[in-house]
This record gives sequence, structure tokens and C-alpha cells, in this order.
Amino acid sequence: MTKLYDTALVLGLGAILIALSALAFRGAGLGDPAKGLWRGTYQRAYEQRFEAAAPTHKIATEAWAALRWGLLREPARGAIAGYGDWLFSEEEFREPDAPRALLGALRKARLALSAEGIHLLPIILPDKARIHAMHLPRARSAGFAQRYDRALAQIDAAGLPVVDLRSALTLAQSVQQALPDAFPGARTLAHRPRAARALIEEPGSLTAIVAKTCGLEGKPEQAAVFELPASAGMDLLDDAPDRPRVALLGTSFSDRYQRDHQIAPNEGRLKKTRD
Amino acid sequence: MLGVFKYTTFVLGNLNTALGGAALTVPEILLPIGLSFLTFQSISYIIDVARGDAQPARRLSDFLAFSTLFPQLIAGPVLRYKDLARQFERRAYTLASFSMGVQRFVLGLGMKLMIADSVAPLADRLFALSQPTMAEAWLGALAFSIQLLFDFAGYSAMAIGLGLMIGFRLPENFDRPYTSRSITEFWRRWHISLSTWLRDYLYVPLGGNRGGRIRTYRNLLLTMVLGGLWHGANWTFLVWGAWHGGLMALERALGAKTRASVWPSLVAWPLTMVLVILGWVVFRAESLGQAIEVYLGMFGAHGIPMRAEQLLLLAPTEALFLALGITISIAPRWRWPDPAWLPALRTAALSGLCLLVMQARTDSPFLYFQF
Repeated sequence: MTKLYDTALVLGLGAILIALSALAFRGAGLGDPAKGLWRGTYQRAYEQRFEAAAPTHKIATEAWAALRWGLLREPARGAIAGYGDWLFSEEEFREPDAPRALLGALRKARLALSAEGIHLLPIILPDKARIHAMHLPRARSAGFAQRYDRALAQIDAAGLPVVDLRSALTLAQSVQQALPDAFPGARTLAHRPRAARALIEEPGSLTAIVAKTCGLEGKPEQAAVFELPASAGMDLLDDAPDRPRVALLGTSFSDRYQRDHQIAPNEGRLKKTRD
Repeated sequence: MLGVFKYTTFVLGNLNTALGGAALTVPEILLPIGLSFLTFQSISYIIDVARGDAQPARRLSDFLAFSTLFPQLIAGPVLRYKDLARQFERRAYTLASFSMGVQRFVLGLGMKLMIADSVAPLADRLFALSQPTMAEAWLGALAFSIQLLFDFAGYSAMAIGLGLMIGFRLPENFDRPYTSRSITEFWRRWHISLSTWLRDYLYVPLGGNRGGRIRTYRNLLLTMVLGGLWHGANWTFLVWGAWHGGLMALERALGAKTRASVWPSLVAWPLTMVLVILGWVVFRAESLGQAIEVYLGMFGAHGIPMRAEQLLLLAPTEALFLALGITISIAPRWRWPDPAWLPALRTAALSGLCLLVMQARTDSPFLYFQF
């Protein structure tokens, strides 16, 4: 009798559990239950809800980060601390991809754009650790030092015009450093006090790409709008009155640039193609 | 069940490679979590009952409770039915055992969160290098050795602690394995529940040491190869099992049956650790090709010192917790003066720290969940 009672109890509990689980899955609103289980989205959703519900999550995250920074000068994962609290992105110290991948991608892009009558001008920005190497505790090894040259060689091999930004950026850095000495009373744009006029919602091209490719509807970025007072003494570094009409590719603010500078849609074709 | 879920893809994939094409369709099979442990425990039930070592479970709930005992279901210790059968009939629930369970659980959580998870990024980063230098390869292997011990022993401690809280005494799974002076001793201290299971249900039925020396060596090798394969359907696990089985056979040939260690006393410990660490490389590697690259690095094929980038990427907490992990894992067992209030204070402090770190970090599953 005890055995029978036990078996019935176990089976009954099992049935209740299955029914409750099925209801919970339906209530979670994560789409097809079979796919949710198969792909593990239920598990992830449960963990995320658990994490979001933890009342001390934010405080704990900040306290742990403060503890590591205060005691060991260790920044959050993904960053590396240099001298004078300079921070560098960790990706600048990871092994480069195979050079062949860039060459193949350039050739492919060049062909695709040529078919549309568009000329491709690839510009590789040197990484921060290259331009601000003096703030690093040690120099990167030869493999990394030559990475920019290798990238330029790949552009050249793809038959595209080569633009080397290193000298321009180094020169700009020297100018920036020299300016305060040369003109003690002058302040650069970066130092000019500015107040945000308004906050606007910035859809941004990267947000759009993420939304389209991943199906994730993220919050639009918030961007501050500043008034830059015209200054007779700042013409050299201010915007030229006759600005070249270009479209930026692959930045969060391509849309904004296009709108602010009133670039006609056909002139923003590169960006449209990318989208 | 294991064959279908765990080895179908491996067998068909290798057959395709051998046939030089894709003639066979390789299905995508999801591995149910904890399947390897569940299967081994079910086998243990059948064999123990068949041998008469334990009575069959009297109630369905007892059998299901044994099969799915939640504290250890996912990553062990592997239970033998005969060790637990009586506890389903009689268990003691006391505040003292509950308190001990909490302390053990928090200790395990600390091992996992503070040490294993802190060292994990270092091991992952160094194992991801295509051509590691000697220093990078050894540091990566050492980091993984510490990560694995604290991850797995941490989980086991949590399982034992949870078991105590609900009145079960689960078997110990680790006994300071990195103090071993031979591979034979290492397997008496590492994943004890698995080695005991393999001994009782595989090595002994194969004939153990009863059929002469050659058969003993064969049985040791076979047991460890199958134990390796149990961890996963990959050539890396097979090679890892063969490595340990071969070394145990060698030690047996050198007289391990009658001596604590067959190696000269001065080199016994460092040699054992080097052999264990070399084994972890192939265990950790995703493919034999990756393992070979790391081995080449360990023997200096890609240069000696750490590269500047790797030194820059080395976070202070990684180095700190790696050093702490090494110290804890090899330190002799000291008897500290332990006033009555100290365990409670220690547990409270550690649980507070764990709570902080657990919320600050993203998800970090246990390594043995994949098995």
C-alpha cells in the first residue's frame, strides 16, 4: 500500500511539475517553446530575470570594480590601464587576424562597389596604443608594431589607394602639445567651455544594423547637442565654411552627420549601400 | 543512451573523415545536462543490486531521488548506489550538520568564484594563442590546472554541503590532488568518486590485476582510456585517458603496488606535477592540433619569454588568485588554532565576498557541466 501511494504521489508530482513548466514557458513569451528549449533562450531569460531582480546588482558591480581599481589599479575587463590612468582597449593587444582575410574582404568590397560605380577609399585608423604608446608600461612586440604596415600593404595589394594616417596623427599630437606653449592665452576647442543645448535621440547607423541583423530593438542613443561659438581666433581649427560633402561609414553618427550637413540621399549612397 | 547522445556525432564525423567525404549525415544532437553522471549512477544501481551489494530501492521515490539527487546531479560526485542506499531509509537532520553543510557550500562557492573564475580568463587567453612561447604555454597550462581544480572541487564541495543540509552524506571527491607524488596517488586524490566507480565497475570486471602483469597493464590502460572518453567525444579526451593509463601502467611495472611512489623522493612531486600538467593541456585543448601547438610552445618552439602584449593583458587579480590557488593546493595541511567563533566568521565573510563577486560578474558555468 505504501509503495502504491508513493508511486501515485511521484507520478502526480511529476504531472503537476510538467503542467506548471508548460504554463511558465508560455507565460515567458519567448516565442516557440520548442525553439526556446532547444536554443537555451529560456535558461538565459531566467538568468537575466534573476540578475535584473537582484536588488544589489548595481552596487555590487560598482563596489567590486572600485575595489579592484583602488587596490590593484585594475580596470574593468576589456580595458588595460596605462601610465597616468590612461585606458586602452584590450583588443589592441590581441593577436591580429590572418592578413589574407583583409585582402579578400577588400577585393570583394572593391568589386561589389565598382559594379555600382563607387570608388572605395579604405582608411585604416591607427589604434590608440600606437599613437599613445608612451602611456603604456611596455612596448608592444614587433608583430603588433608591424600590423599597420601589413594592413597598408594589403590595401596596396588590393590595388586601392593607400592613406597612411600615422604621420598626420603624430603631427596633430605634437601641435596639440605645442599649442599651449606657443599661445599661452589660447584655448583649444577641447578646452572651450560648452554647455549642452539639448539631448536628442540618435538612431545611428550601427543601432540600425544591430536591429536589422540581430532582431534586437535597442534604445536609441542619446546625444548632446552643443553650440560652438564662432571665434575669430579659432578659424584654423574650426570647420571650414565650404565643407566637403561626404558621408561617413560605419559610425553611430553617420545619420546625424548626413542630417546636420544636409547631404542629399544620393550623396549618402555609400552608407545606404552599407545599410 | 550515452552512445546515442554523446558519441553519435563523434563516430559519424570520424567515419566521414576516414571515408574522405560527407557521405554520412551527422545529426546535431543536444547533450542533456548531467547525462554522463546520470548514466553512471544508473549503471551503479543496476550492478549493485544485481551483485547483491545493495537491496533494490523499496519505493519509486527512493530510486528517483538517487538518480536525480539535485546537489550533485550535474557534475558529481558520481554516486554509487551501495554508498547511499541506507541513507534513503535513515537520515539525520541536525542543526549542526546543516550548519556544516552551509560552511562547506560557501567554501565551494568561494573556490569557484574567487579562484577558478579569476584565473579562467588567463587560461582561456593563453590557450587561444596560435603559437605560444614557452612561458605563455606553461603559464596557460598552470592556470588551467588551478582553474580546473578549484572549479571542480568547488562544485563538489557545494554538492557535499547541499547534501549535508538535506541530511545526505555524499562521498568526498578531492583530497589535495596536487600534493601527489605519483600518478597512481594522483588518481586516489583526484575525482575520487569517478576513479572508484571505474575501479569497481570497469577495472575489476575486466580482470583487474588477476590475469598477470601484461593483463594488468592492459586493464589499467583500457580503464583510463574509457574514463577519458567518458569525459567527452573527442580525440583529446582519449589521448588524455591513454596518457594517464600509460603512466599508471608504467608506475605499476616499476612497483607502484607496494610503494607509495616509484620515483626518487626528490623528484617525485615535481615530476608528477609536470606529468599532470602535460595531461591537462590535451584535456583543455579543443583539438589535437591545438594541443600540439601548446606542447610545441612548452618545449620552446615559439620562443621563450612572455610577449609584451601578454604581460600587458595579465590582470593583477589573475596573477594574485593564481598564486593563491597554487599556494592553497600544494600547502601542507596545517592545524591552525580554530576558536569556536572562527568558522562562522569565516563563512560569513566569504559568503559576503562571494555575493559581491557573483553579482559583479557575468555567467560562468562550471567546467564539468559539459560532461
